[in-house]
Order: sequence, then C-alpha cells, then structure tokens
Amino acid sequence: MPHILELQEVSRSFKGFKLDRVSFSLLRGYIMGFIGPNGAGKTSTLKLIMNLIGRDSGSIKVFGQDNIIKQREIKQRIGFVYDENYFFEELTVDEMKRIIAPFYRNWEEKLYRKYLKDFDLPPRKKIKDLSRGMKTKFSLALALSHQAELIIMDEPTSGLDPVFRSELLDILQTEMKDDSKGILFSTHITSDLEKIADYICFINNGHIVLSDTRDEIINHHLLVKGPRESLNDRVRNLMLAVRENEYGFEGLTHHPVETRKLLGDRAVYERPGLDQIMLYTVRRDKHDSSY
Amino acid sequence: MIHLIKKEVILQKKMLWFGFFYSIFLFVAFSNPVLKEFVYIMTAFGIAYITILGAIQSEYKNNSDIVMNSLPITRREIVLGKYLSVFVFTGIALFVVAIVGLFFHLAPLPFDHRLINGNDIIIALISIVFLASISLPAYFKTGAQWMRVVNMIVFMLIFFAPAQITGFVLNNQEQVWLQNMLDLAQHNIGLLIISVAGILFILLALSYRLSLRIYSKRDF
Repeated sequence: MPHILELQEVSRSFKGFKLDRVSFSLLRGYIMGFIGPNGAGKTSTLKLIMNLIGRDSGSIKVFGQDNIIKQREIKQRIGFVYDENYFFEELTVDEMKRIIAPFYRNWEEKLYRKYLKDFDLPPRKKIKDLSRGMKTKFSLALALSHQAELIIMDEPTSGLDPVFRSELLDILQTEMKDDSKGILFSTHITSDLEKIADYICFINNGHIVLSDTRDEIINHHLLVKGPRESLNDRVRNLMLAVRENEYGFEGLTHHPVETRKLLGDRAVYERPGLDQIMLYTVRRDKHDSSY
Repeated sequence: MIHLIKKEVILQKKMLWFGFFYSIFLFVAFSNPVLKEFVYIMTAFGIAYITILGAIQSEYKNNSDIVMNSLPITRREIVLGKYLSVFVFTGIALFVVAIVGLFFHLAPLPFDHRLINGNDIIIALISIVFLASISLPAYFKTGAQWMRVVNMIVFMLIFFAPAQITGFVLNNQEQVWLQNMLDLAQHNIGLLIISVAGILFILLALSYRLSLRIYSKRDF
C-alpha cells in the first residue's frame, strides 16, 4: 500500500533546539497520533511537512511527491487544522470561507454548508466572537470541504471541553470510513488517541523515539509494580525508567517477557496506557541526558 | 492570483468605505485655491495608503501567513499578489476620488473643484508605487512593525524632498546640466514622465525581487 506521507532523515536546527533525523511514514486509510511533550518538536515537524519552515536535510514526500517541489499540487489535497486561530479575526465565518474556498479546485460548497449546520456555526458571526471550540470546528469544516486526502492536525483538541473533544474524534472516525484518506494528529493528550489512532509516532527532544502501530507499542511495553527489595540491578536494567517510594517501585519495561520471567509473581503487571509510555520514556531521556 | 487580490479587497472592504467619507471630508477641507490643486493626489494617496497598510496590519496581527502558506499557492504568488494589490488599491482610490470630485464639480456649492486629470493620476500612482517599493521588502522581512517606520521615513521624503529640490535648483541655476534638465522638463514633459516611470519600474522590479528572496527564506 502506498505511503500517503513519508519523512526520511529530516533535520532542521533552530536556536537551542534541533529536529534530528526525523523519519516516519503513514499509510493511506490510517490515523497516526503524533505524540510528545510540549516543546518536543511536534509543531515544527508538521510545519516542515506543510513547508512553513525549511529543512536542512532529508526528504519529505506527500502522496509520493516532494513537499516543496510539488507543494501547489500537494496542498490541494491536504486539509489542515492548527492549534491556534490564524484566520482573519475581524472577518465573519462566511467572509473567511470566501477567501479560502476559491483556492481549492475540489471545493464542495454543499458539504461545507452541511458541516456549518452540523457544527452549529453561524456564518455571519465574526471569527473573533467564536469560542475556541467553534474556531476549531470552523477550521475542521474548511479542512473537510475540499476532498482532502491527508488531514494534518496540530493539537486540535488542546483547550477544548471533553464533549467537543469526543465529537471531534467521532468526526475523524467517520472520515476514515473512506479508506483513501490519512490523518496525522498531533497531541499531548494521549487519551484522545487510545480511541482513534492506528499508528503512534512519539517524538521527544527532536528525536523520534517510537513509531509503530498503537497495539504493537502497547504490547511491547509492560507496567510493573513490585516491592522495593525485588528491584535489583538486573530488573533495573530491564526498565525504561523507575519510580520508587518507601514501599515499592513502579516501572515501565520494553522487555515484557524477560521481566515476567525474572520477577514472576513478586510483581503485578499492567498493560500501560500511552500516557504512561510517554511519561516513562521522557523520564528516561531526561535521566540519560543528565549524564 | 485573482483570489489573492480578492482577499485584500475583502479585508479592506470597510476601510474603502472609510476612504470614501474621508475623501468627502478632504474635498471640503481642501477647498481653498492653493490646496485644491493637490486634493486629488493627496486624497488618492491617503486612501491607497490606509488600505494597503490596513491589509498588511491585519495579516500581521492575525499571523495569517501561516494559513496563506498552507493553501495551494506558492510564496512567489503571495508576494506578487501583494504588489499587484498596490495597483488595485491605487486604482480604487483614484476611482473614488474621481467620483467624489465629479460630485463637487457638479454640485451647486459655494466652492468648486475641477475634474481629475492625467497629472493627478500619474503623480498619485508614482507616489504610491515609490512608497510600496521601499516599504514592502521591509514588511516581508520584519512584518508590519518596521514597515511603519520605513513608511514614516518615505513619507518625510515625499513631503520634504520637493522643498529641498526646489532650494537646490534655485541655488544652482547657472549649472548647465541643471538648465538642460529644466529645459527638458519644460519642453518635453512626455520624456520626463517616461524617464520617471522607467526609474520607478526598475525600483519596483528590484523591490519585488528582494521581497521574493526574503519571503522565500522565511520560517512561519
């Protein structure tokens, strides 16, 4: 199956931060959650894909084509939702649509009107008077109304109430009934992804730490809780990171079989959530970089 | 390209209405015999300036370069669209002042205004294109903030340079090259206009190249 998006060894240096040899890919028909703590490089990576910032090295292919050379053609087929409002605040919803729509040759006015209705968006209301959730809905309505095949979303759920977050995830799932599309969804709220993401790409400190199917990532990790006395060096070496208190320890391992063998029934094992995997990995990286 | 220009007009729709009422005010305020000679130029310049700057400030305030650069258009088109919008706004401003001037010419008022003429159009156009050529690269480099500073400097040049040039001419009347130039200006106004237009065209082309170079390298 062809990749809808492919990054290979993409690097870009900023003042005090570097995106270092970022590589991952997304297949058509799937949703990829792009996770990482604040400042990990999620937005910068998405901006590189959208050619909003230039890269120092590496290649980015969208629909199999270079994202800079073929940007005009590629952007016809991309829908974008950003974490902040970058529309003209002083315009109304309809005026802004009148600016955006003519740039897309596959603009579907009927579909756009349907989304406005479904999202309860008043076309004559000024953008500055919309709530944050409404602004995201408007952005989403624009992104979904021109037959986009790749939808890029940068933290669309941050700052939104749980009801709208759930609504947004439902909309994305509905969109994915059509297998020709792909969604790249960046967030630091990992619980959103438990519901919808097929793939997870985890970035920390400008490096890709993990990139695989959600189930593979979760199955390859194990959350271990046990008494302090069982935390010897061999166990410690199998752990990504450990939290200790006076009663015991809790750690995450990416060697589940060996850990179970070693600790047996002296420990309790749990399937970790993405947030725990993220938390322990960030903790390990901090620990490593402090040496 | 037409969509980019349409965007500028949608953004400045209200400001154009303001320009219409502003021009009525200036036609009344500039009704004395000296000022009314310049009313078309100054009003058209004013309307074009506030609309061009207004569109730029709106983009800067909303950081909308991010949205514009996410659309299926190239940075070259965005820059070219901005330069073309200068002519569109100047054209609209000239149309507005021509209509308002016509009204004042025909209306039975205690003062009268002549109709707009070719010199008004050429001088207004030259002034705006000169201002835009200098200030647009500053905008593409730094955003609206520095553009205002550059505009102020160019404004001062436009207002103070004529007095300085007149003083220079009066003090150097015996210079042969100056006399030749004055002769040319008096007897061959067409050639003078073509020369100024040529210089301005070169300035505009250089300004566009510079803006494109700056904008192509910018991160958003």
